[in-house]
Amino acid sequence: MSLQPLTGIWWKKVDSSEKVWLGIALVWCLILFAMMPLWHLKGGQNPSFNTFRTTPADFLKKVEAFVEAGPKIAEDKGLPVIAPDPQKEVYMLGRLWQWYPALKLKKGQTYRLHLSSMDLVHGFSLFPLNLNFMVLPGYEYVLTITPTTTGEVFVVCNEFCGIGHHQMVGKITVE
Amino acid sequence: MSGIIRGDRSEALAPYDAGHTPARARVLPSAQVRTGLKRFRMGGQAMADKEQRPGEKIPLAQAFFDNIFLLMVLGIAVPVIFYTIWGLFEIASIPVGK
Amino acid sequence: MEAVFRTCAQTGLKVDRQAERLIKVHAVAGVFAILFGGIAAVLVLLTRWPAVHLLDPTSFYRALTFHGINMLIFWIIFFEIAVLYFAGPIVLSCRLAWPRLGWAGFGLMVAGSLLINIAILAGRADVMMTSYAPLQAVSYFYLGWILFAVGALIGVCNFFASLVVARSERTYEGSIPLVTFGAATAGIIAVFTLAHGAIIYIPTWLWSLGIIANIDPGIYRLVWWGLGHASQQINVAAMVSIWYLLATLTVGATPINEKVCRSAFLLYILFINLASAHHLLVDPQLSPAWKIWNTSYGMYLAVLASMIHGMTVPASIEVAQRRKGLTKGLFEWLAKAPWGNPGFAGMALSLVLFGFIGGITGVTFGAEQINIISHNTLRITGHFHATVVAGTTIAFMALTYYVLPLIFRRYVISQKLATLQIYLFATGMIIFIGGMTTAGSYAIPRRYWDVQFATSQFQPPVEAAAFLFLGIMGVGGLFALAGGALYVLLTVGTVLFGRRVPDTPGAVPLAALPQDKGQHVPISGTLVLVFVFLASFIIYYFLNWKWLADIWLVK
Repeated sequence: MSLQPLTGIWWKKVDSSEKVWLGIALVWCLILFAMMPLWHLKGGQNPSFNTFRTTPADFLKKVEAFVEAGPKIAEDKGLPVIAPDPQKEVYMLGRLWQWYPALKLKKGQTYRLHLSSMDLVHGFSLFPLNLNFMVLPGYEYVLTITPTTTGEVFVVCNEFCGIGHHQMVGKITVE
Repeated sequence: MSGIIRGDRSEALAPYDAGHTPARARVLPSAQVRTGLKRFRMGGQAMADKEQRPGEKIPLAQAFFDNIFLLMVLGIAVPVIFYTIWGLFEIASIPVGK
Repeated sequence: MEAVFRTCAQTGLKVDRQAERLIKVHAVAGVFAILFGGIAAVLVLLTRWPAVHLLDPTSFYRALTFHGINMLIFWIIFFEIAVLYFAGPIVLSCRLAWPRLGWAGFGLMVAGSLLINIAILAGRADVMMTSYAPLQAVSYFYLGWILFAVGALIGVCNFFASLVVARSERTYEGSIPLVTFGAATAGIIAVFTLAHGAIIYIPTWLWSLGIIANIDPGIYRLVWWGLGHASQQINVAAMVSIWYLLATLTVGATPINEKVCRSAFLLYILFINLASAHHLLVDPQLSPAWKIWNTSYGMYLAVLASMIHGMTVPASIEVAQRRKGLTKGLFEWLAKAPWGNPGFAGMALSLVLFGFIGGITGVTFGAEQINIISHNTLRITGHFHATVVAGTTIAFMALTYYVLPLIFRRYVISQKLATLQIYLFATGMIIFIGGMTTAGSYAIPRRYWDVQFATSQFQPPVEAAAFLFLGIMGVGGLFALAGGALYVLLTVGTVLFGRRVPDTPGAVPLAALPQDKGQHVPISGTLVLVFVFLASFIIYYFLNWKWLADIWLVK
């Protein structure tokens, strides 16, 4: 038994009832594996590798240029609300403890959203949609998103970033 | 239920020996422990097909499993290559943004 | 130092007394850790339960850091080193290779854990267990991790060195027992784990001292999780070994086919560490190819291993029980199993909860794309409470009820309470996990002080149902905490006040091995159970792809 050393030959044939399970489990594992490349081909939600090295200072310049170009259509809790043209690149930064700027997007339109952090690691979580990605300082992550629902969606930071972590909430409105 | 931790012996039955199989068994105290290196008593006949006949060679696969240090080398090499080194490579390959 | 032995009257094993002492001190340290972690757990639970919302933000984040490290690292790893000291020298009846070094290793682990806990309680390390750079703690926090990792590595090396001693001094013949092989699997995984700990913590420590200018956050996350998740995979291997051990001790089970069991452990050895990638699936710095290959443990071969053990362990129990004459129907062997024995009940619950809840959610959330709807939400914390707590911790608790009479040689002060403890803890955890994981599907974040967003820049509306599930989590958590407190009370009470076990054979009831007449014993009951498991897996898995398809398009 499990506490005794094994003398003799224990490398022996497998019983057919065990073999059945082994075979079925293996097939299931291969299905699990195949689902991921398959979803890259056929599915609509995939993490990509559109990533660039940047610095907080460089990324801040891009964000400010984006906000400057606008059009800024409103202000919400002190944040400029930008309604970008889908043909242009969209920028949002995370910093202690805010997501900047707020955005107004159109349902069904595709946007290239550039994300980076000014300081610590943050979590970009669209709430309550439940879409989650990581935002790292020094890395510019480009997510190509297409909103499929309308209304207000909030950008909750879900990676601990200090005492103001739970105050860090931004906003995206879709119409 | 037998008091397995408290050592309640009220349901102690004779230990298994060859030929004796009670219809309903409870958890039994392990008796007849020999001194020295003999451990749990294996009731009944030994699993004959596991006994190595003289001159019979251990299968290569079994010998492979017996080589813990070879397993360790593989067990460290595989994840270091696929997870750590490949990962570091990818991070190093990220281009600078325009 | 000349080795001194005693012969265990219960098992006939030759016990190196230094190894036995090391088992005891590591187990005691582990119980202290679960006590500290448990106190922190109460505080964290009562804060995340919105109706109570006990702590202020700073205290909450501090308590959460303390809870995570004491549970996931100190409780688990102290206990595992104890398991290694048992599975090596004691099971093989050989002398411990390096006794003095073993004590040094223990000392380092204690010193490291003290440095870390002091740093946290002093408010100098509010960084969570993961301490993601550029978040920075006081430098002696990182030094604590280095000392702990080195100490644990010494314990691991002592285990492997003892295997060499046993082989060269011929204290056994043939192949090492399955329990020892499983422990060796855990030890191999531990070497990978602790090496990554050293690789990440030494530069991070130097950075905190100002000697190195920067730590790249992307590289930090990659290497840290080589420590972080891999340390949990040590748990899996140790837990599975303990399942086999307890099956033997409680019902006299023997693995049906050692080739199958050991091959499954080999799949763990080769592939299980790849899945540290689970934590990086929505990170910017790694490609889909890397993510898919690694998160799948290499085409899910390590998941296959778990599914194998999930069958072989119950199958060995079924065979043992059927050989005793419990052959009626599909499940008499299971119904008449010793459910009143906390060692058996804990092993069985650990297996079922780890498999059905922890395993299924883990593989599902670890699919590259499904991680998009899980990452950093309470779904993740729900998953790992199912694996590490309902799985590994319950197995360790169950094993404790044999460690106490066999190693500490004291009868547990109350078997009834020990049995109650296991069931209370398991029941509480099931409810807790259900509440937490479901709340997470509403995007409720983990590591978060206030889900009502009262002080946030914006106030997202939160569905009432999410609060209901958080409340359920709270209630379940309280039951689990009661079970945990009872565990600490029983272990401390036994060590201090338990009636001594006399040195006579049979003083500790251990299951006898049922007679093997060579006839074929069916495992039909087990096969039904594993197919129920597979069906649950398939349903939950594809449901999640459906939920993923419902969110925005993203690539």
